[in-house]
Amino acid sequence: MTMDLSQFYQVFFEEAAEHLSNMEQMLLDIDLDSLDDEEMNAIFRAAHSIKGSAGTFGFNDLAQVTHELETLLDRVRKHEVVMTTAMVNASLEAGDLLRDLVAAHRGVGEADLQRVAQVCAALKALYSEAVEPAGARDAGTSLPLHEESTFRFSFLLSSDQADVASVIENLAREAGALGGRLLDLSIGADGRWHGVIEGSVDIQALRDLVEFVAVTDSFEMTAPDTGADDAYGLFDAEPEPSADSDGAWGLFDDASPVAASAADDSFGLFDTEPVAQTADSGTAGDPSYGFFEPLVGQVMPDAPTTAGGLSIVSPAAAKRVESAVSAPVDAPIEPSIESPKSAAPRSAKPAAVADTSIRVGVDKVDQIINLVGELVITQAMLMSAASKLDPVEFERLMSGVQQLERNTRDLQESVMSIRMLPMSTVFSRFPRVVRDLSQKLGKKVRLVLAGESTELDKGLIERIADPLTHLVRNSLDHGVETPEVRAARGKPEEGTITLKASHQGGNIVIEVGDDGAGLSRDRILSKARERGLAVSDSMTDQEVWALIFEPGFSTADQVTEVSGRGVGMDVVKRNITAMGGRVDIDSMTGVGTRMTVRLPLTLAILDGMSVAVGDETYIIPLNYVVESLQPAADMIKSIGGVPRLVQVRNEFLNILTLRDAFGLSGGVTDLERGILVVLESDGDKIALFVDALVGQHQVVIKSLEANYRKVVGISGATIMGDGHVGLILDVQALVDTARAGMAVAA
Amino acid sequence: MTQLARSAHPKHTGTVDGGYTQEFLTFTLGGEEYAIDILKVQEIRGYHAVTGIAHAPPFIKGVINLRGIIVPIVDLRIKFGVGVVEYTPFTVTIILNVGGRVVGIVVDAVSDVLSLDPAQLCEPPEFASSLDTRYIQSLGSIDDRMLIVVDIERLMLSADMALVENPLH
Repeated sequence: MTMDLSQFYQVFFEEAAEHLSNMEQMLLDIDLDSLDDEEMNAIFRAAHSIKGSAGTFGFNDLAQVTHELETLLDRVRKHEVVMTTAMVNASLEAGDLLRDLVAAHRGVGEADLQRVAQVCAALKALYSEAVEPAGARDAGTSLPLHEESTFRFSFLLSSDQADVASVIENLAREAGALGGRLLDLSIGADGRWHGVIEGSVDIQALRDLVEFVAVTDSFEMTAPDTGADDAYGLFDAEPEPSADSDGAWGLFDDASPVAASAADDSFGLFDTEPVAQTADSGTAGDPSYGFFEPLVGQVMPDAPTTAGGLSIVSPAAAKRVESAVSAPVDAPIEPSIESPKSAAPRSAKPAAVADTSIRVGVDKVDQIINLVGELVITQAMLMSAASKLDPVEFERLMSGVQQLERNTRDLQESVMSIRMLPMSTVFSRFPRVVRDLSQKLGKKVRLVLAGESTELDKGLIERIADPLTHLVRNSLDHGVETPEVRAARGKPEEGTITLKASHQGGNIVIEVGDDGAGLSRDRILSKARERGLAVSDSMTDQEVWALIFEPGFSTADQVTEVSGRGVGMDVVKRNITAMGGRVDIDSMTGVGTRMTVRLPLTLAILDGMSVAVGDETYIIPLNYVVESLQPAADMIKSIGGVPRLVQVRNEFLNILTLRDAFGLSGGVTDLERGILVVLESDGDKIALFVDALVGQHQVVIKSLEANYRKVVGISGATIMGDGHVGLILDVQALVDTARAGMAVAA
Repeated sequence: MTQLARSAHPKHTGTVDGGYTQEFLTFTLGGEEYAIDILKVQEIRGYHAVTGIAHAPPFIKGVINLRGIIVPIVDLRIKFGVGVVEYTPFTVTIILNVGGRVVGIVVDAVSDVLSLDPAQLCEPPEFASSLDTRYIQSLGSIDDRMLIVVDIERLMLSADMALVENPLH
């Protein structure tokens, strides 16, 4: 009978992640001085949504944490407590924990149950403290996890459970699996389900279990049978409801003689006051949590407790009582504040977003991208075949082919854009990182984000997040000085960390800048010497800064001595290099540091210029090409008898012969008979010598590494119009080669 | 080819040691007959349109476009120093799927698909050759012929082949 929910897990994980990041975003935006009710409601809703679905899917730990979080937020939004920084922090921490828990359920990492308990306790402490100044919550808030005894519980079955019999059957089985023995589970005259469980049972787990099927917070624990009045500290066994509302569950304000009014604030979720009174059972505290169940409720007229025997209501009986259940249940739901039903209109906003987007597996998108790539290649082949035909005779074919070209290009662009995500998906985590860390370090830091809408491939977005976080943390930790130091140096007390993303040609450039102390050349050099690295005082700044990427330059204690920037910088560099990117550092002592990460847009279509060398054709990414020229004899200058420089206007450029660099045979050797393509990368220019220019294309970048390995000087491959593989030149590497060649020659 | 070819045994993925019959694709290199697990073979195609790669060892002929996938091509004849290295319309490339990678090997000729049962396979003796004995799974005998059963996955992913960034061994 049980439905396999696991097929929906993925959806839940994604939704939970969305809710969590929304919640975090909103928490960070909170202005404690002028709390906006709407904001608080939104935060509460996010927590509530997670709780709801976590419950449905049986993720008890998630439900447990969100429950506490929800309680705290609910109090705040009802103005029962005042939001404090501590609360924001605790909520954020709970958010982190939830994220970890979700990850754990996904199979990444492990759930830290101890942390669950800690966070729950912290949240509980916050809302309880704020509400009950003293004494009132002495016993109620701490349920012992395990209790050796028999106790009773009751709950209202949620009215949206279609198949009561199977729900109850499942519940009975699950409850039995918790460790105790379920002695009885049956419906009472009041429409509530009553259970008796014996043995060592994790009450929290039982509560969670029941709450999945029960009306929110209708779960109730009654006193254990065996003189356990104090066991839960919830109540006396006296039947007078008003007497025991006091200590239970952080209830408050029960000056009112009517227990029901106390009850309805219990978790602030469920306003059942009118119902409690109309319900003939007389259980005033009905839906409250851990509240006393009057003796009336313990007597189960329908199914008397059978000692040791497990009695489950038969399906038929359940059907019979279903109407009885739903009648009293439906009534309270309509006016209630936070029942599942009334929560629906509240989530209208996220639902609207959901309507305009669909979730599709990345593999499906990739498949489409591959297919479109194939289509583009086929189109190019058709194109080149058609170009050999007589345009007059085959006019209609020609126009068809041209139309096909336009359409495929549009299609390709749209498909490519599917995988692209804005950088804001990464950047959005940094306000939090900066906030937490600056608080911890006692620094004042302002985070400036720019270029958040810059799009990057999803695969890269996921992989760039960690290295970037590292860079930001580094800037904060070691770059930005403490307010005192900053004031002493005549800088504003508040430091600034800038995160900027932009497209530069075929690259995405992400800058992490700070206006802190900058790197200390002397210290890095002396540290490098200590570590036995080959350094000299004549090294350029760039070379010195690059030392901090050396492995082992970076263990914690050294870092503080070296004025920082070293914790795992080698890992950062390695990760970024693995993505085909690079990191550069600019730094000025006392002014600040800027780390520039350059990443290729791997999936993008590349505008390329194809050049021929011998029999081979290579693609040069167009964004590196400055100009192409056929050199005259007097432009070429030789050094030591070897022609290696070309004078282009007022510049002398290194000549790199592609033929030699790649060890190719054939092709032009006379510089005056070939073409020099002037390339610029990172401010360095070289002149690449090739036989001829072939044409200009848009090419789909294919990975050479997927089935082969990285080749120096080649950044990827593509498929040419004739079906051949064309290799794409890695201009940066070529520029480096040229420079290294010069260095060797010099 | 032989009475064993296309034997009645069902195709089985079991290991040689496991006592199952296994199917092999056999090909020739020079005068030698080699066999590889047929489950590693994706397809067989001709040799054309290979784009050379700079600084690659001589036996790596380059890459081809296999329906949108860039596939490196290794000429085993050059690698093992056997056979006549020439490229004609009849030159055959076996496209393999090993360790999640697609690579092609050029051989003299593809001969047959054979089922061999463990009784026909024996441990290779230790000897020195251009093909490291580590990659020789076993030797098979059919009538008077000897088949060299190669652990093609291990061979292709090894450092010797220079095909992968992080070789298996």
